[in-house]
Amino acid sequence: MFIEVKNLTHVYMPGTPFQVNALTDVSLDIERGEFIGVIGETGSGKSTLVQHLNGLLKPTSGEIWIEGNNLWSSKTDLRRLRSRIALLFQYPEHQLFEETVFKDVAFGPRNMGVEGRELEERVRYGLEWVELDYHTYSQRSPFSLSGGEKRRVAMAGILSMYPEAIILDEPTASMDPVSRKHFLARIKRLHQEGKVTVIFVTHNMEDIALLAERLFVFASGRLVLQGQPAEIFQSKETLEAIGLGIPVLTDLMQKICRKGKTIRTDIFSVEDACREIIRSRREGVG
Amino acid sequence: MRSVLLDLKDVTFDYILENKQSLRAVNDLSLQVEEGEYIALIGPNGSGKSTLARLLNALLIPLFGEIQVDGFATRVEEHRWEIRRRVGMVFQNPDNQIVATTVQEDVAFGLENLGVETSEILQRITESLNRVGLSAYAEHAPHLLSGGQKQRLAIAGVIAMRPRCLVLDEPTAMLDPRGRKEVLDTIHSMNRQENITVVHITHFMEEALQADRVIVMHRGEIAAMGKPETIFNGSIDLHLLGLEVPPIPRLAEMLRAEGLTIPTGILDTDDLVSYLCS
Repeated sequence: MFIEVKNLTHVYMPGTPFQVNALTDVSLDIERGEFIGVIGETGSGKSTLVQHLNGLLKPTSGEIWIEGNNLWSSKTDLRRLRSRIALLFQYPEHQLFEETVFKDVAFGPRNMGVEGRELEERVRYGLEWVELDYHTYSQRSPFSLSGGEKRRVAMAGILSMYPEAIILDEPTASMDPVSRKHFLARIKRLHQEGKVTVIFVTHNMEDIALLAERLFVFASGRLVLQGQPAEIFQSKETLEAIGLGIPVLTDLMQKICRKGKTIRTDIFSVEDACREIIRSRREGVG
Repeated sequence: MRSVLLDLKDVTFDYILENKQSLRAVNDLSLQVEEGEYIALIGPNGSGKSTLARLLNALLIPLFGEIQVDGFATRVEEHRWEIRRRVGMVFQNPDNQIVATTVQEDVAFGLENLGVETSEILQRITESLNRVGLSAYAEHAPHLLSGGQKQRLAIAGVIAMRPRCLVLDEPTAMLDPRGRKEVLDTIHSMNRQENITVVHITHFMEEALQADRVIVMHRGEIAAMGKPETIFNGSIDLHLLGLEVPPIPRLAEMLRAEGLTIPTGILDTDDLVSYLCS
């Protein structure tokens, strides 16, 4: 198993009047190569969870195991771990700080001791994944870029570490629809062709339904549901009770189904919905 | 006939960059918004939506052209207070808009600045918190509210000043589904019940479906404008403008192409269900 979370509990500011139980007794497994979606309303513990996966937060109780090793045992090299399991924060464009795009993207690998030609190769690799031309961008100041370009530079800075897993915490907030679509397509390609494990935290049910192989659903610091999107999004009432919802097309298909039509409801794309409605009609007639 | 509240004539705005070059954000734009209208403003990043929003309450002044709010020109400095009392702004990040240590003090902030009397302030706090559904939280610390509650608090702070118009710049971008619904319900009820004019900037195409009129911005200009049924019926290539048609009208269009009889202008799930099941 790649990542194992065992009975994880995290309490912020314990023993003070401000004590918050952010996570309570959470256990879950993530296999290498999976595309995981993490959903739940604000304050449900999603971000607290993912910050445990690369050792940014230490459990109050419970354990995190990475490839059979306890993360908080003395022999873990945390810096190295954070390049293997890399986290892209929300609004990462605010985290750029170097004079040039090259230096910013090179920061992670340089910290790992990479230099010279290999460093350049990694910067090229990172920029290539986010579709920013090396010659055009590498010597520019990150601060002269547009918001969308800055976000891509931040992503390139993660990829230049050749991570085995990337954790994305609401990466598409306030992107316009086309930029969002491009970004999601790049993540998908990274997962499929780059064989990178992806852990994707989001409020967007439509997007995650199409992308994730497995979902973890959080409410009030507990893991309340886990499974494939097709299973999870059948539980409309449960999801609405914890402040979430289901994709609009799944909702449509479920409503048609409730009117007595024989129709699949595990539908997340317009193309599939169209095909299934046509199929159901033909069969209904024949 | 409804009166014109926002009147923009040939408005142009440039930003001056570090290297002294100028970047045109809004180009020769004209628009009239009627009192009580609900406008959704959509467009890709960098199309000029937020600049337009800031021009509406005189945070920015046009390089060329003229904007009048309820007859007051934004260019005239003495008019700016009158304009800002009429046009309230709500921004994307709820955490950047909170100034006080309790919910009611936060609502009071703007009123105190306007020099409103204490008894009147108290009355308006009660009224505003009621309208956004936060009465029970009057004594609470704002930072302990959820994202949706914080945005509703920001709206309460603005409506306490009794504006004629609300300009909201991606008010739901950072919220979870429940928070989004709370904020959208609040904005719509302000519009319907109080006849407050709304200019709502969003990247969520579904939110634009609920508007009276959708304005599509592209490179600082109005690329398209009309009722949601017209904007999202497939006749405009929204993808080319950095946008997309929401799933329900897109599916309706695709089913029509397959030969199903579905009227144009379907935007809503329940409407599509009833056509498919009739």
